[in-house]
Amino acid sequence: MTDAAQERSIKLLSSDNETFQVPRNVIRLSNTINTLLQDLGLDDEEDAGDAIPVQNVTSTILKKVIAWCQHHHEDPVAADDSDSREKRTDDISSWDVEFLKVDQGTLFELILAANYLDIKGLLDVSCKTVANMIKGKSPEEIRRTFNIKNDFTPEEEEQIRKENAWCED
Amino acid sequence: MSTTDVTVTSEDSQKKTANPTENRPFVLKKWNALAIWAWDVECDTCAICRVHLMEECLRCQSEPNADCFVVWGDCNHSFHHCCMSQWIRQNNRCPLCQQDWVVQRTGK
Amino acid sequence: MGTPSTSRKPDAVQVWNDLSNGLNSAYNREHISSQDYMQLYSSVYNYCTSITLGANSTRRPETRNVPTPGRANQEDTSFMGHELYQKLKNYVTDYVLKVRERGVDLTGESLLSFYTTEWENFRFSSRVMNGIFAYLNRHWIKRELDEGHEDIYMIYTLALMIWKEHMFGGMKDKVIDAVLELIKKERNGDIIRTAYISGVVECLVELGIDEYDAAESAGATAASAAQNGAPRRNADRAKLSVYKTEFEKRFLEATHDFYKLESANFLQEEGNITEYMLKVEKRLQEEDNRCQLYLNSATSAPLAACCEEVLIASRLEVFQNEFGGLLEKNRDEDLARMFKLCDRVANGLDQLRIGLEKHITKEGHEALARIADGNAMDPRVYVNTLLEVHQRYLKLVQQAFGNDPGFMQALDKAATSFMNKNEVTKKAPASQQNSKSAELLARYCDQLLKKSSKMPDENELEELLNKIMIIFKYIDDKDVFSKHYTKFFSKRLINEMSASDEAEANFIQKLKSSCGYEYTSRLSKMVNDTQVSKDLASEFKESLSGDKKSKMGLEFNILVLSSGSWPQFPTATLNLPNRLSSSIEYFAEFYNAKFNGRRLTWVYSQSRGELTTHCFSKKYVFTSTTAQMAMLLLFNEQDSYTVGQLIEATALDSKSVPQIVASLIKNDVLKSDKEITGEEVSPDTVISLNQEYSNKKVRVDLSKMTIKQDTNRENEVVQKNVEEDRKNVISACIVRIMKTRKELKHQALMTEVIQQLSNRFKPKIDMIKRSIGSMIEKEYIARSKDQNDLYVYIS
Repeated sequence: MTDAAQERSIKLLSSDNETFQVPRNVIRLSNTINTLLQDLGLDDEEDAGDAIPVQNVTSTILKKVIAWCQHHHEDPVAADDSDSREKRTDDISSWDVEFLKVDQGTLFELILAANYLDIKGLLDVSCKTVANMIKGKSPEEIRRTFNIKNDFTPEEEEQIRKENAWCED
Repeated sequence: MSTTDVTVTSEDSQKKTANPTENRPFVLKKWNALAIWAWDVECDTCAICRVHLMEECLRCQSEPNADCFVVWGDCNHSFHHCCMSQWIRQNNRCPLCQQDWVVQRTGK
Repeated sequence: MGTPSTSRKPDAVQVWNDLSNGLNSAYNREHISSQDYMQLYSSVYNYCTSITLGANSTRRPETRNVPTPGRANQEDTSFMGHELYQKLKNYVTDYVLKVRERGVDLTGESLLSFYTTEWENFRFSSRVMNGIFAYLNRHWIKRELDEGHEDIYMIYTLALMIWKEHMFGGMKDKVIDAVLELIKKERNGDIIRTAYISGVVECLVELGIDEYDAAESAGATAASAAQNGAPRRNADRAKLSVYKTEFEKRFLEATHDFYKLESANFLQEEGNITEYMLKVEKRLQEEDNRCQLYLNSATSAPLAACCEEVLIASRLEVFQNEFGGLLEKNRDEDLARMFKLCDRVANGLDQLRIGLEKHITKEGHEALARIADGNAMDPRVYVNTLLEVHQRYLKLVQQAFGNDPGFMQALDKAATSFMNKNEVTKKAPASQQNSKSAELLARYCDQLLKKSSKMPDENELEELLNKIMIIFKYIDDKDVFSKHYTKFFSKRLINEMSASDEAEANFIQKLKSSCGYEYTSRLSKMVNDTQVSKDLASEFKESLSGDKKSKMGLEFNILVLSSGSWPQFPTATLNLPNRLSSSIEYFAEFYNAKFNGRRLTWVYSQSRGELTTHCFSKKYVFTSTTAQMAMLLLFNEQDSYTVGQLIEATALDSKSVPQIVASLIKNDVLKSDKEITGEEVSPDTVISLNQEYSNKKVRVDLSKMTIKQDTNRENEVVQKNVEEDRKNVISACIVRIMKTRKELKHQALMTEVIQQLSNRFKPKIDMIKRSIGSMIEKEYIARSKDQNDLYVYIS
């Protein structure tokens, strides 16, 4: 925190009114906050003003989000982040794997927050984690994993199985 | 280029031969002689390639460092050695006098 | 708001109310706090995500917070997103139309002021709007674009499209008019507010957003685009379409008209080429600066091309007409300027090159004409005159004409012209005119390489020899040069007159690198001969017995050369004094024992010796030719002879004796009873020793008086040999080519011979044809049986 211009803090306010101090350089990873700071010209001002309300995110989740950004803010900018690139789910860094060992509820909250704050890296890695939870499981296992009630009638189920027969095995 | 001095007047010979000539008007002291050597040939052009025998034959002129010397037959006609060796492959007679070709000597 | 929960579906009317209030703030440029901003952003977010929720909530309560874009209820999102998009579009359109209303009556600078200010505001506001609606961009719009829907743009792009259609489309002519007017003012010397122009230019560039490429550039709001430069630059190029069609085209037309008029007026009123070039240079610089300062840098090239066309290309005739005058006056600075300007347009230099060649040719011939009446045949004066002209224009080509190959070629052509045939060579006898230049150059080399009192030092000599090589390259008949050079070189070797062996070798090396091995092979052989002879002489000296030594009784030096490599020396019979003939005898004995098939010929004319005298008041040492020696030694026997007796005693031919006698009389050693003039001398003329001879010097060179050779006759001989040698060189060249090619068509062979010999002389066509004929006759090559114009090598 030596360079005042680069390392000044931005205050974020969670939905449950907790204030967080985040270095400007770290919160850069949130496109939403980054654009706000740039569009409103707040980067040029001495004092970034009042805390920015992040009204869709609770303090518990915001804390985790900031921790993730803190860890990743010096990552090189991905050269090609287009959607056309083939998605892999086995390239999650060990730090992220550790970081995402949380209960399902928290994981989903993180996905929501990443989407809301437009943090592409976090959104990718958390969605991949969910994808890995589904991979290789039977419908019944998936229902159990995510606690989903089977609301198909047996006839409906038979119909779906027929339609998707091509992708079995 | 300096020619090497061949000082022939030793002190002894000077006493013997110089005395009688000492008072003559002119006394020889030194001579820088120039000689030209050429192959001892009847005709100085090679009848085969039409090039002067003192020069390399036509074929050898296109190759640097070629050693092109002269050869005499019994008939005393002479040619470039390279031209002649080429010639006798087809015809073992002197191109000038039609005698059988026998090497008399080669130049050195 | 204020709670993270999105469990209830937001009321569309309420949401739009909130958002339009926000947009009002943004477009009125009121202060927006980060709280307000987040509030608006969240409204859009909640509005968009709630639809998904509403559609799926009955079945999947556990996934209630997860937006699943891939499987969203298409109908709902599409409808709701579209509605929001449409409202936004209407809002911005209304805003832009109102702005336009306010500017409708404006013109000139007030219009530009209005337009650029409004544009800046609009851009700023639209960027804020884009941020607020970022979620719509990322999801609904993105999906529409992915699915290929037309007429849907990212929010910021949408704003630009609206501006382009309603604002720019409505007043572009007036705006561009105003910009062009302002630029014209500046060209006329006024100070203008360039910010107006750069503002409009930036707007045009941004409006150039490619409608089909909107997806890429929309994400690239100013903020995120700064991160990766490369794709941004690509986008820039695509973006220039509006700038190019709406502005650049008209700008270039205006520029063309402006300078056409200016150039015409200037040339009519002032007419001074120097002033005009300075003006053009200044204008080109100004226009380039203009581009960098407030236009787009992409205009640089077309703008320069436009100015060059009007100011230079269409005025080339003016430049060309003035070029000769500038050359005449040595205005190097102006010439350099003209070169740089004309170099900028296509074919601008062609006429200048021709002009330069003409001028140098003329200058060269004039310089030589100036010396032709004086001591033109002085090789040093001649060569220096050639060099002066060449150096002058070489410097010009290098410094003013940027070493341009075309100009260098012009210099070469001109130099070839005046260096081979000129007023000086015309003074020579007709048969020698073509070779005079080569001869004088060879003579100059001899002057430099010969021992003399004013010898240049090593560095000076090297520089002089390099300069000689410059001229040498232009000499057509390099074989003639070689002939003369060989003649002088042999004299230097035989008489030990070379100033430095190193310098000799160095110059031969220069000739070799310029013309190839064959060209100098003879010179190398000569050097080699003298070396071999030196070893031979030492060997002979060691082989001599004491008896033989005393019979010779003098210092005997010998040089044996091979006859093919050296120039022809005149040989004559001579009765040698005893000591000389025994020296020769001993050496011949030694030589014949050593070699086979060789014949020695003694060249008395080139053999020199020394005599000491005892008949005069003082003792002298005479250096003399062998014939002089033989003659003087006769006076040891008696004091006087008739010419007839001398002829008999020396066995010299009757023409040589009077010459030698004359040389000794000139030296005052002998005297005659009648005056000797010319070659015809009466045999009864009495020649006697001049007892009164005296000289301040002890060493006297008597031979100098005899070797006043007739250069003219010498040159005739050289010229005759040249023709003979050329035949041989051509023949050798044909054999060499055919030996490597095996087969060659007639025309190809001719071309190659000419090409290979070009660095020695220009062979005449019929001479080559005759050589080919004789090569066929001698069965080196044959005509192909199938093709008459094809030659085949016979090995």
